[in-house]
Amino acid sequence: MRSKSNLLLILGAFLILGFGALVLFLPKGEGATVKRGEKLYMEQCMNCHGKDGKGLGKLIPGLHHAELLQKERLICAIRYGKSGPLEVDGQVYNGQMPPNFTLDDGEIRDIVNYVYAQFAEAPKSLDLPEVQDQLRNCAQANPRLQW
Amino acid sequence: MKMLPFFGPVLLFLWSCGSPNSNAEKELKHLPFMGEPMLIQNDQGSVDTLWPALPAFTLASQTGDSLTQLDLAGKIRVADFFFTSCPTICPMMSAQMLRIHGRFGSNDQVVLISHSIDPEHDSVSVLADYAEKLGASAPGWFFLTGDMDLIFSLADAYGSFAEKDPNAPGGFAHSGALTLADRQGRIRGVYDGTNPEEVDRLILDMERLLAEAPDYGPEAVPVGLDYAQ
Repeated sequence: MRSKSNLLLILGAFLILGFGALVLFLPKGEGATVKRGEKLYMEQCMNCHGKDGKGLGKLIPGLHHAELLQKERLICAIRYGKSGPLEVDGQVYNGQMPPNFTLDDGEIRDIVNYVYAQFAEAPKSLDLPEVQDQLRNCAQANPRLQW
Repeated sequence: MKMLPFFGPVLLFLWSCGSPNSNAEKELKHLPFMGEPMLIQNDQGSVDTLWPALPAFTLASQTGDSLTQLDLAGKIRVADFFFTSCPTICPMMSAQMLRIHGRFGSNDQVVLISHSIDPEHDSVSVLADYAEKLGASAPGWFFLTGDMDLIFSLADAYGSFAEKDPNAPGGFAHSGALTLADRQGRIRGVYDGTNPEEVDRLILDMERLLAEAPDYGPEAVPVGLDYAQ
């Protein structure tokens, strides 16, 4: 009997510890959106902007430029793409960024939060309503939806 | 000490297993030849092994001058197929080619050639602008444009692939391959130009090719293209 209850005790301890570890390491809050954003960035953005976000020569801008990271520009550019000349820190870029209509609002939030966490001088995190507010404003700010 | 006569031959046998003979070691240092050998009966009644080399071409480069296979004679080359308005893998390929250019740009034994598969849009001036903005310069790196069918056939000859495809992003389907050819125009390796680790290997293989005697291996014979020029 004694050994059986000991066994139960050990089993119980394992269960509690295991569950605790699961809760501790489950991605949540800001960590989770950045983690999902990282995966999406690698699928959707890395080809052009690079794993390190440095862009490509004078063809594709790097993502460390503060003016590109203004949420109005960043959020709208991810959904609607970007064409025409774009001046960043005195350099004019003339490429085309394709739109991404397959990304939902939450996925755009995740990408934005990864980009902020990874490349912004002062990292910040946006919540879903903020991103959705901005997405509604893209059409108002620029009816041609070209950023 | 008494055991030595008995173990001596065994040890010798193991020793010979452990170290390959010098010929085999030399072979390992060379890259393979890609493609099918051509076995040609010669006048003496025996068979010569010849190797297909990349076909002849004449294309315009970003400098405004034309480039032909003769300009590449005696040099090793890395070739890719891309287009300047490509929205998918081309920036990654260009970034990797830029790494190679950074490493070998000042070596006159190395030439990079990037063929536009959208030559209607990618004129000489578009390519010149692209090269300048990318940070690439001739004679280390040429961007080529010309007859589209010729360029598609060249892609095939280089073990790559390109075709018009209205359903593909940007209107063209193509491979991200970087092809390495030796001083005689024989293909010695094909690498995934979107994978930095593969390009690390390509850079090492370029060093191996540069160290190789120019006349190493079977004689090269340029093959023609099906495409009639």
